[in-house]
Amino acid sequence: MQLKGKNIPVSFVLLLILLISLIAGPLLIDYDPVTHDLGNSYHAPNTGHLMGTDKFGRDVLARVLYGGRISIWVALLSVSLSLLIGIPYGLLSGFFDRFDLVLNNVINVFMAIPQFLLILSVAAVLGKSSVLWIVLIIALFSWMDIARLVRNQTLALKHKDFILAETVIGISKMRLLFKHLLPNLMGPVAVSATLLFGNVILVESALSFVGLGVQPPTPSWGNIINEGRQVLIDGWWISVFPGVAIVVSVLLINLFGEYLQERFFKY
Amino acid sequence: MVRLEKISKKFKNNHAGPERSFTALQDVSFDIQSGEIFGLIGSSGSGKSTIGKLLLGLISPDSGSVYYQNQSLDDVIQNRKGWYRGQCQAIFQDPKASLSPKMTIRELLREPLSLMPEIDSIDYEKHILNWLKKVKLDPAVLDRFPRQLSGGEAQRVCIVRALMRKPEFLICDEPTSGLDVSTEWEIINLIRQMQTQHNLCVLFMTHNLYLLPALADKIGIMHHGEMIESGTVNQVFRNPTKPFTKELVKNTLLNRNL
Amino acid sequence: MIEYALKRIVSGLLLVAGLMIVTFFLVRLSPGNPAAIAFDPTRSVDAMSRLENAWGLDKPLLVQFGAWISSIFHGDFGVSYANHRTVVSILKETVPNTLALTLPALFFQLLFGIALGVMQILNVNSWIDRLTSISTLVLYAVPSFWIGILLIMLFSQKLGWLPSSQMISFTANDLPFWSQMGDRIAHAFLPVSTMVLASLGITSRYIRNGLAGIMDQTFIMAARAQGFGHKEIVMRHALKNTLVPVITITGQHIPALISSSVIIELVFSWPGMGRLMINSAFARDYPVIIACTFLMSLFVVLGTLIADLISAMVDPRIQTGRI
Repeated sequence: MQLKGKNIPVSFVLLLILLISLIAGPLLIDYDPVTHDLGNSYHAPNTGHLMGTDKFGRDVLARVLYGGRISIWVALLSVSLSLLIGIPYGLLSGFFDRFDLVLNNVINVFMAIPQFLLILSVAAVLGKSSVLWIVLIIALFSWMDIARLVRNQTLALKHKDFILAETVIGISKMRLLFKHLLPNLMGPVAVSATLLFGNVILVESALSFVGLGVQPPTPSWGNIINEGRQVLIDGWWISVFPGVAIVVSVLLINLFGEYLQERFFKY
Repeated sequence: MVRLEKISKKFKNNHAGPERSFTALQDVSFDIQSGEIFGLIGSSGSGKSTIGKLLLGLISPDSGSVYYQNQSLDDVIQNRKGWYRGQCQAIFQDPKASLSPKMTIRELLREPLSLMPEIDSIDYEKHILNWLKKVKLDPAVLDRFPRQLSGGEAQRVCIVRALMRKPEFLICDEPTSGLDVSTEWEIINLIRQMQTQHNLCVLFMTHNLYLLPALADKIGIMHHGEMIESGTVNQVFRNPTKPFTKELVKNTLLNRNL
Repeated sequence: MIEYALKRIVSGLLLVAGLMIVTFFLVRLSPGNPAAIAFDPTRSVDAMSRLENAWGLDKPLLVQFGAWISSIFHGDFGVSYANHRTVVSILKETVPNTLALTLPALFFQLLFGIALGVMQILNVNSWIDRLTSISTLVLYAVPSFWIGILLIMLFSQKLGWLPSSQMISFTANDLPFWSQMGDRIAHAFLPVSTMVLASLGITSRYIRNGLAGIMDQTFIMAARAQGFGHKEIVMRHALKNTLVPVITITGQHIPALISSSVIIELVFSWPGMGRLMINSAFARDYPVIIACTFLMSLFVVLGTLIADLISAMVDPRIQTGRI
């Protein structure tokens, strides 16, 4: 796709459409995602309720759209927080040899524990399922990928000629790190952050599905699927549509990530 | 001005191999007077670049000492690193790779100026344009990125960046070996011209002996980490003592006669 | 080789030590009092502190850590708060069930992953290749628990072909051996298929791209120049060289496999470690949560270690780090 002579990837356009419909969608729908309407339970998808209604007569489309907002928020905040931890950590570890041994092994330990297990056990033990806590827990166990990437890129870059030349000119270490190394890392970091975004959506939905993430009645894609799981015979649509929403968003995000990868790594 | 006394340096061998370390420099001594151009010749691996890194204070020798203006370089680096970074500057082999790729030439040229408190930031643009005129660069390059420059243009930018800090000592590490022949001589002449204008002390490292008669006052020849020959250009070219040097000089003269 | 193996084993042991610290303190430092949950509100506050005392929760955290470490070396991992048995005796019942799920899943996922990857390279850039690439990219985006639900909906509820929960039917004990085996396989079919589908995307993409990279290399060109056909080159020259990447991806994939087994066990009510862990998490049964997290991480470390050692044996260049 072309805009003002610049190539815009189709996946990005679709992703924008998805985001806009998640933001604006709830405004166009009259149904409340939380209030019960017991006279209308288990309606199959029809023109009035495009995705049907659930056990309590709530419109599934409205719940999927509201749930999407929450999932996207959680992902956005967790990824930002991971970047905030991972980038300085990786720069420090890669640039200063004396820190690297300890810092890199901390990454190794964190990466050896299956991420979802850790998130699960901490979330359960914490027993606090406000959205902010979920963001904190997910970020606490997601920053390692970013940190590892930044570290390896820093290691590769710091012996390049221009870093040597800047050192000789006499600029400070901080300026070297943030003005010269960091800008040259942003491409790979953008790719990694995009893929992490998709992954966080999956993790959050799994956590909410298990019952340790976003708590009902607040809708989230994961907990809607869980509610539908108990009533598969009466209402297959309750579990199916939020799942489709997850697949479509994660797929678009990954496609966009692949596009970024091609752009940044193939020259 | 600059003096090396019996410098030795070994490097650890990182790759698995029979030897744990290899000797980069063995008992190397020479000195450069202020206002003098010293040509250092040697093939890759002969230890030239190690000398460059030592003089820039990026590594320190295993034994022997380096003196800058009669002070031990170790002390200078420890106590007055900022001052030394202004005194000693360098340009390198691959000019495009020595410019930070995500910055415009203007940003790159402002950088050394920003390290000099005596220059007011309002005057940066004036200074930059002045320098561009000196090295015959079109001001249009200012808004470009390093990858959009030719090798010769990029090396001029590097030279300006180095000289802006008003150094007294300039290290040139094969500054022309990535350039084509006509550009090579333009850069050599520029260095020569700058050297006279600013009364610089220059260490010029190259593997091309034929560049030196036109440029250097004294030369030294490096071979496997040792300095096997040194003296004025005439001494070395007329009366080479070692077989390796004889061969080198003969080949260079032959090539020039072609 | 022996030097490399020793180095890797020592670093693996250090990693395990790090894991002990991280798993213990992450779980224990999180706020929340298990005694308060187990505590019956009709009893006195005194009873609650007795409970804390019995579980050692009133001691300093470092003392508790020491007690936990010594319990590992005694081989019992402490005693579960929930049902007062040693953690090891609980794990002995659940770990084999989890392995019965994950090992077949790993096997079939590699089998189908390699088959798909090879098929794509044999027909490189054809519509088969593109269609498979798109499908695997979609699979990559599908949450595993949702695949499980779709399979249950279709095969258990709609068609009634396969059971959707537990490992075995209640009546199966009376059946002859072969029918009992059939019953077990029927029960494992959907959860294993779910796990295979959930990870097939990543495995086959990895193998396809690995093979595609090999096809660009000089020795393949040389083989082409000698007049070998495309199919022969893929099967005889390229495939051999995917061995190391396949071993590596298997090692790297173990964490994801274990994570997905946790949630799949929940969906299919499979009595393994994953379900145990989620139930214990809700009950704040610290000894069990910590032991499960530690043990699963231990599987990961072991998996990567074995994968590294095997690839070093296959390709000696890895040992010197020159690759």
